[in-house]
Amino acid sequence: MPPFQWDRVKSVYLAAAELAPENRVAFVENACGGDEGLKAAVLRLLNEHDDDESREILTRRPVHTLSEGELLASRFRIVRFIGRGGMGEVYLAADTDLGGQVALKIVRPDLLSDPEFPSRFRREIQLARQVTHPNVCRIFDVGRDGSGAGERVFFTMEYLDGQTLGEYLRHRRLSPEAALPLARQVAGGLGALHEKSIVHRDLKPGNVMVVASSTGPRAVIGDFGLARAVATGSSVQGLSESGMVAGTPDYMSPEQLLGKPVTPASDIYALGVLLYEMVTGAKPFRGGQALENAVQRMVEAPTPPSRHVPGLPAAWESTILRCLACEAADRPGSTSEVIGLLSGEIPTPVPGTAPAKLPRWLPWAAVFSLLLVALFVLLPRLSWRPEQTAANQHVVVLPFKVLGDDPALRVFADGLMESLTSRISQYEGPNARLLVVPASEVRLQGARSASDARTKFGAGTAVEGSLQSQGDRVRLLLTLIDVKQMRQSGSVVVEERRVNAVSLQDAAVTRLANALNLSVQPRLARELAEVNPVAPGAHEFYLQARGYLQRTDQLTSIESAITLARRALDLDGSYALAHSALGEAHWYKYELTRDAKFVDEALRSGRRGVELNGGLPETNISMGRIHLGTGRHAEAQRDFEKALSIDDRNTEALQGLATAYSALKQHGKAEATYRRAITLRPGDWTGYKQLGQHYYRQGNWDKAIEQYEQVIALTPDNAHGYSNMAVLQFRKGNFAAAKRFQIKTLELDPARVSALSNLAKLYYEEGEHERAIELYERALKLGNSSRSHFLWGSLGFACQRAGRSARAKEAFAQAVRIAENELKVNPNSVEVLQRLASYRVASGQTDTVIALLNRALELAPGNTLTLISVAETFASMGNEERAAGLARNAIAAGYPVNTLQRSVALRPLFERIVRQR
Amino acid sequence: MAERDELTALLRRFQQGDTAAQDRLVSAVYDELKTIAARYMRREKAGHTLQTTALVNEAYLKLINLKDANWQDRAHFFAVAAQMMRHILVDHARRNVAGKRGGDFHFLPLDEALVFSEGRSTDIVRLDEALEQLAKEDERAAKVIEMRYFGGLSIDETAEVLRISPRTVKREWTFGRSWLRSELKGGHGDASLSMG
Repeated sequence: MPPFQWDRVKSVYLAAAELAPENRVAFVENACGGDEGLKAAVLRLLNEHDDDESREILTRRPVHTLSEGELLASRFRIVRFIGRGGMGEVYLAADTDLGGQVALKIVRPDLLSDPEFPSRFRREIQLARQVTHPNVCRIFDVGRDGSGAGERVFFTMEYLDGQTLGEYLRHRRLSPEAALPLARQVAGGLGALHEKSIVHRDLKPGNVMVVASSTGPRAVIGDFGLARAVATGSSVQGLSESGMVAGTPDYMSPEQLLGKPVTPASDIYALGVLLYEMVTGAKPFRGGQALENAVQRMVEAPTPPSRHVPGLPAAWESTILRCLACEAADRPGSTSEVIGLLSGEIPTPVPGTAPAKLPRWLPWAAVFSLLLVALFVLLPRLSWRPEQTAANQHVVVLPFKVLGDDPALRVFADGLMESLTSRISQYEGPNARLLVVPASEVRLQGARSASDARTKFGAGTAVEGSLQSQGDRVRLLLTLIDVKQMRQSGSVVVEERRVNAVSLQDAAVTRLANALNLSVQPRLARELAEVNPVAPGAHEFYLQARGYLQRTDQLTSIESAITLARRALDLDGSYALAHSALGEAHWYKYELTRDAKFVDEALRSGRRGVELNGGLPETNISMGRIHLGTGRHAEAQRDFEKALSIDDRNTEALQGLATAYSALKQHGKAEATYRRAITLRPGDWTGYKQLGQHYYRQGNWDKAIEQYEQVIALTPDNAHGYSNMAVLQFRKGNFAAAKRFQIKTLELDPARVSALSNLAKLYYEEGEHERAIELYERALKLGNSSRSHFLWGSLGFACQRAGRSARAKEAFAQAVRIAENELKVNPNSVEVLQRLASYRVASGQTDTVIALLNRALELAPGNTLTLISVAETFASMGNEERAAGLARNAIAAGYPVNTLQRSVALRPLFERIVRQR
Repeated sequence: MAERDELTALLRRFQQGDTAAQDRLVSAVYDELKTIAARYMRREKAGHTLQTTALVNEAYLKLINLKDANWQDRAHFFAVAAQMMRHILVDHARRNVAGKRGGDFHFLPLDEALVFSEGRSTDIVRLDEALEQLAKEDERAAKVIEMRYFGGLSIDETAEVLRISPRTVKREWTFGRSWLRSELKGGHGDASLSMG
């Protein structure tokens, strides 16, 4: 609504609200001076007006005009309030003249303000009374009660004790056989209306009652014809009135939406939507917004109902689609034709005319104006994103649901989702526009719904899956959802014996690829096959193991993965993937337990996997990960290079390789590799994240910030982006900004350990030690963070500063123990070396500290972060000379002076550092 | 007590337009409200009405030194808290709604125990969206609704914070409520949502 219109509505409304209720309507009439749109908008608001000043904003305590026992027009005694409809309140009333019960509808007072309403209303009622059909609600009388401002106009009709078709359908989807009797009744009732030249105009499940009867459910059409008495202006105008309009025009035909004359064919269209809904449980167009939906209906074909119900008889499919034809002339000519077609009494014509084509009469100007309005309404919802990938080929496979409560099936589903995702991403190379979000990211972001797919990844298509077992068979149903429109765009069903998990997976991949229009073969069609066929059942255990490996933060889960991988190997000892999975599982077990014996197991199994089938990217990637973790960077580099020689677009291999280069201090190569990953998948935020982290490790904050700006632009609801941006701003010395980003992070993810820890660091630097302690303690209680030396050490420093020496001692003891164990496994970790040194100093064990610090400096000579950390430790040992020297080096290498000034440990030396520069 | 004095001072600085003070104040209020809200949410049975005003009041008592504070301080504090309260409730409700949409299990961290029934969550999210919509057309009306509804500010307090007359607040309040009701009615029947 244009601003001037808003202001006018508001001022007339406010002036009216100050008057006594009975004078308001007349005042509005007068004030609007013939501007019907203005008047309607003000009356709509006044209808919601509440003279009570209470704070109950949205609760409208059901204020009923009439109370129980009240007698209306000396004839109808109110029994109870039934509900509220578009026209007004509905009551159950007893007819004291003729006996029996009727439904009594009070016409909304604001409708009466239209001087033409009473005559129009009376005409419609007269017409409606002529219809006597078992499937049409009988209209009896119009009546009035009272006079002047208190006058009530009402009408009475047949009282139907049942539920609406909408409620009836909520609990079931009908088979065509079960739907036919109901469809026949609705069509019959509608036909009776059409015979009297009455167009219903508002047929929808909410307007059809289903009443139990001795011959089965009886459907009765209500609320017909009257819509016309109420309608003012054209529907399009109604739609475009910003926000002031209620209701979804789900059942309106294109001609109705465009404000064209409405004919019986418009009701046939609505009947088509109704039939569609009866047999599929879905609507043919599912745009979220009224306008989106309306525009869709003009320019797109409906989703064929058989997409929802694969076995739907052809007669139903074609009849429903004909009813939904854009052009009225293409729809069946009468309701009896609809039923004849559905029941097969009339043969289905050969499909000739495409129902989707635009109506011949549709003026392009109208489409454009509608589109234009749609653009303005919808535009704010879209944000511009730096993506080159066609949205609908940016795919997220969501975690599968499992029907039933078989725990083995649950993990099988998780593994299947993971391997399916990785197999589909194999199509990326030849299908340049395809971008599949890796399963690891889906897991990390906790994406569960189609809307998550959009908000967290900016994806265009979400694949939902559900898995069901029946005896020894499993059935996988995949549904493709267009997340922009929030509607189903395709589905795939695969069924297989459970022991044949491999064929289930292969079939699912092929059919999903078809559904996604990926015509070109995957990159690895041949190599992907195992060298030898896998023994029956082994692959299922492997997939279950992979499923458990999705939860590497839980020891029980990892142990289950180990058990299952072993079981797969019991069935087939030469199954390379199972060896690799076993290796990875042992590595994760080490990461959780920090027990070094699992490292050997990991290395052994990983190597075995590569020996058995080094032609699979997976075996090499598993090996590379284990090598990276154990500090064997050169070997890791070779593993990832091998994986890339098989599949040069494999993201996991690229990221692993870049990490290896980075650890080997080949920063140029690392950067180039990260950039290559980005070039291959420009719409994937994880590439920018990795490169940003690389720059961060280099101390190049400005470049890191650039990357994180991309992360936030691509996924504005993703806590990760803000959390890391906060750290970068902190490093830059922008503390207010850091805090803002940190708060935004915690809003999105209140249990994020890193955000809690970073916020604690901010408080710590500001001298708010108690607050910092509280946050660290909170973080330590989450997940597996109690195994983090970093958190324990930080807690120790905060406690020390706050004078809580007992807790500080405990914390440092934990930190030292964990860090020492980690160094045993990876003696080359610069971070652990420098942190361990600082913990030792803090807890008074200074003997080996110098060696640790020198080793850290040796491994990362020019790294500013290392320099500062080491300088801080020297400062706290009292070696001010060395501390100041290192800090000066850091500043020379670009470390911001104002950030240095904030360092609790180096602040006392600040003068000295800066002056001697 | 030291913290209270500090926050009271921050509140004063914030009223004088100190944005750095605002950052710290917002984060302190947010932390406190989240803690209190989580406690209420655990205690109250699902489906109970959450008394947002009581929550904000509790945070106020805890964070601000009452001896020094005057009623203008209270109003400004509540205005900040109203915004935070809205975030917390909507965030919480969104998660409920998302869980429901996904039709999947959905584990909440312990401090996020359920408080709204699913229907109510949907209402809150829709209210938030409608309020967003209102703010685009009429920022002042939306601000008044936010303060009164999520923060429990009185007419006079709202007037103080927004530096407008109480009569204007009343008019915005009346208009905003009617507009929201009319907006929310769209398609889904009457909204039923009640807060203290």
